[in-house]
Amino acid sequence: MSSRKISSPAQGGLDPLCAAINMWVSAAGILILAASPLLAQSGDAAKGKELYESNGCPTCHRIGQSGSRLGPDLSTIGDRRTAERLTQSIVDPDAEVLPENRFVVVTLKDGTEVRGRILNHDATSVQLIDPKQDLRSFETSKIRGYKILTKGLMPSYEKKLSPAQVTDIVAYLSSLKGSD
Amino acid sequence: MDVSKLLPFALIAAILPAQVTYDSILHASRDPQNWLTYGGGYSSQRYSLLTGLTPDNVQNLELKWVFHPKYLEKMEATPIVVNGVLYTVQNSEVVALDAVTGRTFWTFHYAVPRESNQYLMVVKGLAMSGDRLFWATYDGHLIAIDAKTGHAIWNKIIVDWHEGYQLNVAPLIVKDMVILGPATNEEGANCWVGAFDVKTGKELWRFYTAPMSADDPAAKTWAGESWKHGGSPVWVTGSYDPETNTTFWGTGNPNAGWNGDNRAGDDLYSDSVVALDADTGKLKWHYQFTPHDEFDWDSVQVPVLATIPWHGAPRKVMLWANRNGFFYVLDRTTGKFLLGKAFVKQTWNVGFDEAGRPMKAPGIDPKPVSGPVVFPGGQGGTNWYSPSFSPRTGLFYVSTWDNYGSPEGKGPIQEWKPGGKYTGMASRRSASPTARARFRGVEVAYRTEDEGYGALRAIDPQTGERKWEFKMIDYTESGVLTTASNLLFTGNRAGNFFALNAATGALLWHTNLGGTVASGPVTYAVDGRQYVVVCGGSAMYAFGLPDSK
Repeated sequence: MSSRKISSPAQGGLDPLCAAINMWVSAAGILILAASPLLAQSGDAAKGKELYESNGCPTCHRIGQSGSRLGPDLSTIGDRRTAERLTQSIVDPDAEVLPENRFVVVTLKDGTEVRGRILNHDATSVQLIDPKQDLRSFETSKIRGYKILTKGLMPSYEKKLSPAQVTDIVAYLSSLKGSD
Repeated sequence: MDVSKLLPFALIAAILPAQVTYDSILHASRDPQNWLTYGGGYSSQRYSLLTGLTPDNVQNLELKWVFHPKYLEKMEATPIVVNGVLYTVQNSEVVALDAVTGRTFWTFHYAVPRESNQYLMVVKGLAMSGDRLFWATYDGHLIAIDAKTGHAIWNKIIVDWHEGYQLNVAPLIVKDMVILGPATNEEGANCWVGAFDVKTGKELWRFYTAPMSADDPAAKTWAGESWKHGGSPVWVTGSYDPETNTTFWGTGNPNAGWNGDNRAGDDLYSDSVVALDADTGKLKWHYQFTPHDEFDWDSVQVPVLATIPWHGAPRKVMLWANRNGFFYVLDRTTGKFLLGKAFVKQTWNVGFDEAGRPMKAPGIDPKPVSGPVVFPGGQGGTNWYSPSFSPRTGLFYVSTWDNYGSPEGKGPIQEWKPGGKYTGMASRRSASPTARARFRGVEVAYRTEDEGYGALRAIDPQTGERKWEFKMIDYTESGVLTTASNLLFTGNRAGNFFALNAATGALLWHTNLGGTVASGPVTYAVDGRQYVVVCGGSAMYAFGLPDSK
């Protein structure tokens, strides 16, 4: 994603938390939030954990042995993503998607659509994990179509959560680190 | 897509039954499209009710896919197949494959240190409980892996390879326990069978197959303190009888293997089958096939459980073709010896006493030089290769080696050092490079083709008599698979993979895989189509019928 930084209306504002928030505009023109490293530190990880669970995140994501395997595993996400990236993923999840996290739809010969997260794709077959967490494999000669979903299965939480709540969730996710 | 649309899926995910439950393994035979354990079920019969492949159509088998791991060792693993996904392991890697195309869903990598490898970096296979796979690594780790994602859930070190241990067995799942044991590659590390919690990896019980203290009653069967380095490894998967809650495991040879001078006595529980309470690990009974072994006749064969007619009434038995060349029938409830009959030429045992104890022939003790000729040889009448029992034919099938040995390798017993060889063996005579090159595996002795060859033999367990044999000339390290349509699949070191008529031994189909067949073939079905998979060399091959047939 290419993006440019713009001045944030929140900068220097009343809420100290918001002072840490910068506003970004993605190439698609979508206003998204991004946080400085301070953001993760200033959020409340305990509240973030509650928000993570109450907002249905385990429906698709797995932490440790809880939650679905459909979406990216977040067990050690704090080792791998900055607070800015985590914030972006929450408010604009389609802005940047790693190849292994792409969602795809396979259309069978009878028109049935099977959605899931891509595992492998080669010249003759495609493998994915579906919402029921079943590993599925399709031979391309036996399906009608296959495409990568540019609009993934994860919704934007920009309008569902306040910036402070996003910051709390980011603080929680940032705390998830591997044991090594 | 709105997340709310996913909520039904979330509910489905929440109530999804685990893929492999205790109940599903208990009734594995009712679920023949899957292959749930190393032995195909708790009885380890390696018998499938699938009948898509028959003696009439098996000649149409064609290659469906090949899987090459990154590692080039001889592939010995028996895969597990659950709902169209095949899981297997080689060296440092576990993979989940589409059982129809062979395409990889995921790969889990754990770098087993090369220096822990004292022999061949082979792994016999995995176990599965719920959505978890269990891999016992060569360097002593037991790892639980998420079968959906290939991510490690827990990773426990259960033995230290520096002390002479290794793990290469496919574990056995019983209830919520992972049961397995370590091996020692002639390094005198005392071994055991143990159970671990599938959820946490916590050890629940342990039964030592060689004593760990002088207070152990078994220590009295070892002279002096020789029990301290008695070995008795575990390297092939056991079986389980749910009716008596008993798990059965075979044990390997005592150490030092080729010189028993300092360990006079029976050396329990080496070369035995031990029957253990599955909840506690407490010994119920044992039977020792080769007391005071000096021939390396490990008893690590798979215990095959069956109910067969016995003197006019059904009897719950254990069938066992041992490396020492004898086929045994034991009452698996009591351990009572019912029958022992040679299935290859043998010269070491002149008979059994009433309790089933073999009576060793005179003059066969190993010597430093000019040892006697003993049948079978060091590689045995069979080895770890999984046999099969077909309830349909009532026959027991086993890969056999007719061969002899000349136990003249006896040498001084080394001072025991952790991780060092403790064999009591003189320097091995090495064959010429040309002679070595002739073989795909270990060398065996033969003077004539009649004295040394491999064969698949069908044995009537009620009598121990051979019903038929399929002679292979070259030796075989292959496991055996039988099906309800009277097919039998097996292979050999020449790379051949055969389909035989299980009733007659007639060859129905064969192909060459270009490498030693050293695993047990398995069969499964996806979308109603039956497949058979086997390893050849360092690769795995899947066969099925053409799409149009």
